[in-house]
Amino acid sequence: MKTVTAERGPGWARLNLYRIALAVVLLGMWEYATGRWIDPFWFSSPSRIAAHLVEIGRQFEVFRDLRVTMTETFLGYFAGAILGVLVGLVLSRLETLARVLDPFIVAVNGIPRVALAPLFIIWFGIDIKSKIVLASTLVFFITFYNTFAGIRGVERSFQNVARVMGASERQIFLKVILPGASPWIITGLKMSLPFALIGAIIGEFMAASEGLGFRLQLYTGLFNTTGAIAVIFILMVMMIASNALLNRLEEHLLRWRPKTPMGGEATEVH
Amino acid sequence: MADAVLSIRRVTRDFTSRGRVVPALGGVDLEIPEGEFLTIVGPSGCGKSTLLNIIAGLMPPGGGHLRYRGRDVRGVNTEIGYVTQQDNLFPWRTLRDNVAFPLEIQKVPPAERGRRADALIAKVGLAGFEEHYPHELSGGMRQRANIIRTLIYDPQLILMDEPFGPLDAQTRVILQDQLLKLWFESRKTVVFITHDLVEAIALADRVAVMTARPGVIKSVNRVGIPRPRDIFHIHDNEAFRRLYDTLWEELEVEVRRGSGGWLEGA
Repeated sequence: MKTVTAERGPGWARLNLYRIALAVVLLGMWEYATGRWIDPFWFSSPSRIAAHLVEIGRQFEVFRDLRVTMTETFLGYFAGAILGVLVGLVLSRLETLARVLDPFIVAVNGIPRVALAPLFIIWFGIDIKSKIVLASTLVFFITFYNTFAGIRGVERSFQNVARVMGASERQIFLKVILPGASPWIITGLKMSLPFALIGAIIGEFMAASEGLGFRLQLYTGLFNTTGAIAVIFILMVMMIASNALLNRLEEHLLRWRPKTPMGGEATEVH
Repeated sequence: MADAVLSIRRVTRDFTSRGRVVPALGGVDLEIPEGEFLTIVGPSGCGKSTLLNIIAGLMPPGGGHLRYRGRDVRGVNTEIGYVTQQDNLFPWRTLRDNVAFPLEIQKVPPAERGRRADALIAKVGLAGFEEHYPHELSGGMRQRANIIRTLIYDPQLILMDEPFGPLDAQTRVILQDQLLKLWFESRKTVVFITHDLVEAIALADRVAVMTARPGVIKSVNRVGIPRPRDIFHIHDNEAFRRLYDTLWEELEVEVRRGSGGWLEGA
């Protein structure tokens, strides 16, 4: 009898080489087109943006803005994620309460968060608190729903097997239900991270005196497209870096799962 | 029988499906003495699995009663081991941690449970796969793991619900042989469900035949083949062939009845 091992696609180094090549080609086309077919005033160009990044990199402000936005994003993310997982765990165990709360949860989740942003500014002020709250409400519902559905989805037969072996309800929860739901919970934690950043940026758009969203707003107000795209680039790098971190964590926690035909790389595409 | 591990009296059970009440078990009577290997054969849908769920205490009987070692059992009976048709190995645990799971539940120290798991794993020929996850094992390997996971905590009565059902014919015979050898060492009481007559006779001390739904026990037949048995050449045995013919005659009627008539003229 043979063990089954997943087919591996092209190697990691080769994949990255292709990716870099694609990025170079796209940026090259943009650079080439600027000044020839498109007006740099509206679309800027990679070389202008790079120069701008180097320039603002010499100043202190951009790092302060980066720090502020990262603080809002991550505090909002952790608050929302911890609360979302906890409430998901509790409600999945309390059938009646979950059913009573269901329409309320749907209603609250249905409110467009952008509509709430000005209220949050009134309630929590224009500093980072309002942005943290906004980010956390976005994260909360995603992690909550995933945790709730994940726990409900753990197969009854797994629980029965443990029950027949004499497991207590506590042991069943800790050793069967929780690990069984972990793929869902982890997916929720991964999916919600970009939303934390969205919450922080929307909050900064509304009212702020610092942060990358504030700076982006400022640049677009001045028709400085180079500056605006440079900020967007920083946001992009921020997202890629934190996503890579979460992928590592996921790979470790879910190492027991069969690899996808793409060797697990598919999860990086959003 | 005074020394019955399990006595089942007039056990019934109905199911409600789309507002209709469907009787699954129509009054099952069975006495299972200590150390016996009993197999139950019957047409599909005759309530065999329901009966096992009731014995395990995962499901209450609709009527009648069930005594385990002379006492009534409420809820799940944790002295019983249950090997299901689906292997139900936890995909997030390695083979070793799956097999050791019942010991972990009983709070056996890690070193000891690892040692006991590894010993059983080696016994069924899975040495070298201790660190593998279930998805890295074949169906036959997983089912062996499923069985030793039940044996490891030494339950007094083992229920098996078509454990070899999903396996190919060759793997089946090898696992049947392995199971007989494991059983011969421990002589635990076993109730084994199958729809395969050859398997039913080859393994059992007694074979119970169940009727089509609502299932009742139609007959109980003693298997007169001495142990240890050579499972690979059981077909050559005269007693085997005679019993096979008798049981098939009984079973055939039920299979046709259970098919809802479409095999009637075949």
